[in-house]
Amino acid sequence: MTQEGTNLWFDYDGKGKELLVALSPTRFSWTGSIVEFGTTGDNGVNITIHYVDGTEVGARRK
Amino acid sequence: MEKARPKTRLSGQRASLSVCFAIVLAAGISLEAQWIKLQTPGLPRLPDGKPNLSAPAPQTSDGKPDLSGLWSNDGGDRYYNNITADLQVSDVAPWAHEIFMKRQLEFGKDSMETLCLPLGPAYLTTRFREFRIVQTPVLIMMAFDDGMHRSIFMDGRSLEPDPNPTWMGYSVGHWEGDALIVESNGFTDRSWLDFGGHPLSEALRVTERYTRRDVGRMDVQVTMVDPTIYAKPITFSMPIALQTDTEMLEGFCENHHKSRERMVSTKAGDIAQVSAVVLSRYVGPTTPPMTAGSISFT
Repeated sequence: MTQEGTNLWFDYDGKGKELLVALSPTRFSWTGSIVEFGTTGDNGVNITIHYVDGTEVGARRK
Repeated sequence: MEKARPKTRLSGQRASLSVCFAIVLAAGISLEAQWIKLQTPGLPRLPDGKPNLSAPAPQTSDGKPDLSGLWSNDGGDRYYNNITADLQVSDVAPWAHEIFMKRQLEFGKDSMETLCLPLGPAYLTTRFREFRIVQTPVLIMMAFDDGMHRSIFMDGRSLEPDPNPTWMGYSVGHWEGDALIVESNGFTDRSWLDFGGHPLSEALRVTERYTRRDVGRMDVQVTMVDPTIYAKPITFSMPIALQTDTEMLEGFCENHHKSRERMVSTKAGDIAQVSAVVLSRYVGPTTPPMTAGSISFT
């Protein structure tokens, strides 16, 4: 995840940065899929990607 | 901006007719696409019969690198998804970034793919199209599996300063040592530079540098200059790989409008304004990295 001002970009698997469009402070549209951020107990950030065909979960260490 | 200027260019039409004839002759191989057990003729082979892709690059009878063959991009989706992957938002004209944002929200419903239109400059980055290079001393042809083609004139002509804009543009080439240098202009601004929706202007100039490393691999260095939109040149390398012991299949576009009718855009009212401070919490890599191979759906 990279940021330029109020633009948030997602580079998934080296495919090149793609724009995340904010739908709320924690939910973003990613070319049709939904990227959702959550918090973990140790101040980390969870990332959940909701696809049409399922959900993928990753974590960003703080 | 969306309207192509009508001009007449008879010499170009004659050249196009010749080129189309050449393609029909060359594509006679691929259109059948029936020789699934036929080995590609002329390739150096290993003792087990497989193509020796590491053998030295072949040369033509006049000593130039021979780029002929069936090729496919081998560099992933990085620049096809976003041609500005190595630029900053501030390098893109604000009005152009707005167009890009609009196309993002519409999920590409007016993209070249959805509308069944030629990809234009995006042929350089897509890995979904194969193309055959047919090389002569005065003309190099690139024939794509969707029926489009590029003519790269090697006869010493220069690019026209104000050509009639087209989807594929106009190209001239020359050799610099073992590298083929191709310069192009005359692209219509109806086209997009990538699937994400970055626009281009008719001032776009593209320079490609093709270097065949060996039998199986070729490096393409691309520089796109469009100063009315992009403050910096867009530069990237795109490896391409020889497709061996196979033939090109037709890959035409049909009835995509049926999909388009069902595409739903993000509504403007659904977009939230989120502060840079909040966004900064999300910046950084994931641990472990999220990769396509690691996907497990729940």
